[in-house]
Amino acid sequence: MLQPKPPSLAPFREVWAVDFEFIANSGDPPEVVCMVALEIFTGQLLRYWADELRNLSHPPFDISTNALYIAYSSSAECSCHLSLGWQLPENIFDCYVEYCRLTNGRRRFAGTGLLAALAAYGLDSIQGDEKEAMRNLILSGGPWDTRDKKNILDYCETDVRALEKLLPLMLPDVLHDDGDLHRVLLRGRYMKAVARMECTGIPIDALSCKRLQDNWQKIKAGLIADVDLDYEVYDENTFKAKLFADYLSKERIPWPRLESGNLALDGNTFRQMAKAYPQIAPLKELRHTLGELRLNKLAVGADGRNRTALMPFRSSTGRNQPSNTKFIFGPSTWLRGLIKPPQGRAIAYVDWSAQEIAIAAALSEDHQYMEDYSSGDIYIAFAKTAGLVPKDATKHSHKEIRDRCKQVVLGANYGMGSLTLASRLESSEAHARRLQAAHRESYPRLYDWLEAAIDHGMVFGYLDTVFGWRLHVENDANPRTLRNFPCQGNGAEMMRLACSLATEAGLAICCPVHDALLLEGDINTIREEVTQLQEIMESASRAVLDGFTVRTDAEIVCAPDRYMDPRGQAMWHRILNLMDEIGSNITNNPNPPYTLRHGTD
Amino acid sequence: MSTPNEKKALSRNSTNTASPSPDSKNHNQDSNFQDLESLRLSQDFRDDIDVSKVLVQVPVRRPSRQEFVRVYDDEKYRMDTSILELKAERQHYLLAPSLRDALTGDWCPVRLVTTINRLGVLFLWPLKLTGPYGQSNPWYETGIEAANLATSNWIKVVADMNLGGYQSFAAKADLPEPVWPEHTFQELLEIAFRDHFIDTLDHPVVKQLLGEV
Repeated sequence: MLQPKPPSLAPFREVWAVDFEFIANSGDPPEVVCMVALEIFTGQLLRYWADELRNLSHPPFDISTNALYIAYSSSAECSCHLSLGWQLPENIFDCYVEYCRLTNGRRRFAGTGLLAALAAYGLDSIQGDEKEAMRNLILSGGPWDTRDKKNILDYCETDVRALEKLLPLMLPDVLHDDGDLHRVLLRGRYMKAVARMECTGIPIDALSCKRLQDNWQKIKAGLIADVDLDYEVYDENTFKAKLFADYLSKERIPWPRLESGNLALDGNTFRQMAKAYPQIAPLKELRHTLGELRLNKLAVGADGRNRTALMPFRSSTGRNQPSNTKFIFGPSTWLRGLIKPPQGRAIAYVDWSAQEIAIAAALSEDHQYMEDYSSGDIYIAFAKTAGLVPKDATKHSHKEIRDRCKQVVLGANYGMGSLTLASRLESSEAHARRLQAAHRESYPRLYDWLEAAIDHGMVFGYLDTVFGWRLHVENDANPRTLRNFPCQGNGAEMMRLACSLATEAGLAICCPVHDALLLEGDINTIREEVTQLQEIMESASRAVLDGFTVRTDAEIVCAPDRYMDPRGQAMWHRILNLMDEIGSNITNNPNPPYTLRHGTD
Repeated sequence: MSTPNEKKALSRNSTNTASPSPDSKNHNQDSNFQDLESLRLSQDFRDDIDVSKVLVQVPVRRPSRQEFVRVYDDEKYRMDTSILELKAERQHYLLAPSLRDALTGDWCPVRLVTTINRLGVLFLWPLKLTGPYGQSNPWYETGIEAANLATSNWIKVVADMNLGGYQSFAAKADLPEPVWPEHTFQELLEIAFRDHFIDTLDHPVVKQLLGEV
């Protein structure tokens, strides 16, 4: 049934709800099956099968600035546009993103899928099992007869009809003023960047990846034998808590315990303890590698590139949350050694320097903290401000105290406790408290602001970032989450802006990695592209921080070298040695040349 | 041009001013973000929430030997008066002038100065002007000197037995000025001596001193 256009959508001549069906093999770009588009206020309906779509050089509806494009998780639709060689829509209203924002921080009983959003607004939808059956029919890859095609198009249309009903109910919750519409479109703009980055993917040494996968069982056994020499905590390839307790006792390492009195052996405890006791790090990496790494799940496409859904806006801070097992930048840092630019190409890891500290300094308007950040070395600057070192101290002359101050500064935003800090510093709690007091005394406005964020969340029930990503605060909210949200959430805003601008400028961004972007370029032009990206990232920081610049650093790796995360280097070399013993070398041959498909826009 | 096997670390130095002036907001020149300025939401949660600290306690004590303090440099925030100190309990009582003659020898003339430490904790520092019978000594004198010094410097005050007085140490760091509360001195006095004001000889502390309890 046709409905009148609400005033909030008056700026748009046409409003199209769009849905694609596609097949996405692991690591490959989507293969389009069909598309349905519906102009919500005139009722014009378009149904196209893949072969018809491939004959079109541009979408059969308006995607200009005069039109609004409605989709649910629009990065998938945009990926289909790129697969078809189409331009991306100018204005996107992504109902998935807005549903995530409306429910962020609240209990979600049915996830964030379209069916959940429909249920939340009291709308009927097709049954989950019916949807599953249709998905299976699509993923079968055909061949489909005329009836199958009609059923698939009908199914695709149900999602478009669902958007038609959902949009008017959602609008009053989303749009309250003109600014809200622009902020919605800004989030939609990022979904286009996501599609471009997913299309680019991350270049992988596919041959070595295959060899690792083929020999994984032998490598695992070899790794245990190799790493356990220093610990003696495995018995017949099984980790024994009793042996680990003996090791801790021998090394005099105080280890957290559960209420039951047993040692806490979860990944998070290992991760935290490895920071305080670096000798634990190889064992932590081994346990993760053995327990959680599913090498065969790593999504590597036929063209040797790691591609997986980046899952934008999935975390409460608004950051991406891609699958740990499918994404090369999952927790196993050694695995990143598989990242390797193709022949003639280079990659660059460009990150904001101490991003969260800069955000806290600028948004709290603590001028001393801003000045200390801008000095280039916040850690030694804090030591000077607090009177812990002489004014002429450098990171070389006072390395030890600088390292200590670094832990204090890094823990300040999220309210690290004095016991945890003492553990990191391997010092007394009194010493840790003294350093924390020195930080608090040096930057009083920062602490006022961090505390005010908690108060704001608890009083008003929400916290917003600069561009409106919202965390709803429920009664059982953790104060540390509230205290940390402005830094994390605005860091995510900065990342989204930079991704949007960089991909729109034609730079081949492979993916964001927390506070960094991975760029790929021609070996002859990579330095110019890195400079361009750094300028974009710094201008994004100024947009978020009201004029304050967050510095950037870059590291370039040219073919035939491979990328390496320093934290995973030791494990990577262990695995190389094991591969040598097995007789299946990690290749150092260059990856074959690759023609990068830039998204058109 | 980059060459194979090249691995470079690039770092860009950007200039920030600690206090951005309107001129320094160079993001306005970032043409790609011009339209974003109007979309910004306030991040100054302090203004939005307007929570102010409620002063419920004002201790009366000397600075500890570790803490750096400042003394409010304003005549309106100090007062010469009479204090009765119960040393065993480390309690200070403000004595009404009308009872001074009746309790000669039990109280001391003191100067109460408004003091704050680096964590923003406010307290009244009782500086003895003389002993109970008008006698002076170096401890009183060096205490007053330390307080005078603290009106313009962050100092810590340490008892030095060899010196026979207090030694003052000024902080080397260039520390910011303290943020003083908006309370009047009268309000500070009322909070500090809410339950510690003696204005009658029937007060339990007086009876205790006179051996009546």
